[in-house]
Amino acid sequence: MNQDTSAYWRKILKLDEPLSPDPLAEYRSWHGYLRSFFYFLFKVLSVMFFPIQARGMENVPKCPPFILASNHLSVADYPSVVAKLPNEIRDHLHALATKHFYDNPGARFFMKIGSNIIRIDTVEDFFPALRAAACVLRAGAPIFIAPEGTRSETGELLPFKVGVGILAVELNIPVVPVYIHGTFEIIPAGAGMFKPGKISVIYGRPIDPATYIEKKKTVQAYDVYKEFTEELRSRILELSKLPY
Amino acid sequence: MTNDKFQMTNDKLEKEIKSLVAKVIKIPEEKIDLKANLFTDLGVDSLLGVEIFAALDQKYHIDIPEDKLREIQTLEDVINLVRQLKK
Repeated sequence: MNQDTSAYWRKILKLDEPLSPDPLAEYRSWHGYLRSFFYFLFKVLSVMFFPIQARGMENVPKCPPFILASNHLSVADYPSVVAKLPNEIRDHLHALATKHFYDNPGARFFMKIGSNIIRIDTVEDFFPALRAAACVLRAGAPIFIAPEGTRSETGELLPFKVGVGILAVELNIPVVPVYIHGTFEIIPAGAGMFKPGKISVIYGRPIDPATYIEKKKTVQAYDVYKEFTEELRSRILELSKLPY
Repeated sequence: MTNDKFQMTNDKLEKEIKSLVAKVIKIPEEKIDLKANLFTDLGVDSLLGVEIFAALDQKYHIDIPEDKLREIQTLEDVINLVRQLKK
């Protein structure tokens, strides 16, 4: 019997509906004009106080769409992940930000300078954000996700939310596992000021969802998404064990 | 339809849905009470809830709006929802 229940998931993500003429317009704002300046300042600060070492950058695909998925330790994670990426990718990357931060005007201001932001409500209704992310990927732009859904308060990797698996498998999008070292020591959740230190960002080999897409023919879609998400988590854990 | 036949159809539907939900959430049928809360008692999260809808959609070819997920709490609610949508 065909177990593929993904037709309903596709309906929820509106994957078979046509895209609007400019699907990315919603996430563009005047803040983007300050982006180059923001990252210039970030780089100056990083050179002085928290040098960033990036490894495995050859694993980031040259052509989007793709998903960058990393562990989440600190507000410095996103700028650290994109700091060494080509400007073309950095400027087109869309990041999912929880409503907790997005609804704070000050935080939203800086987030919109740093990236194109998709607001996500992880507690009550995350489907609008999942649909928005699917739409951005269909439009050919890359996405950044922290699948833990929140910053780890201990530095340990938390369980992952399945949304990243749904997007990757339903849209056939490669996911680059990313591990960030050091931002927890520099500015952990709740800290008001950063401390000097060293940051290392490791980009792993992308996970191709092809085998998972095939699996959906015999296994219920949710289990496949979950399995994909577990593989992503294991791959990020493996990266975490590499020398810092 | 006579009352007996109606009852039989209802019982059959109830049994089918119970079996389908059990399979989706991987809990033996006999451990699922009609009035047990799917989310708090049986550990279903909202995405697994969507998978239940997806399985029902596939089996009965009914169009279940995703916002109905907020209205269902128990297996009984799911059965009533399918009954409504099948009418």
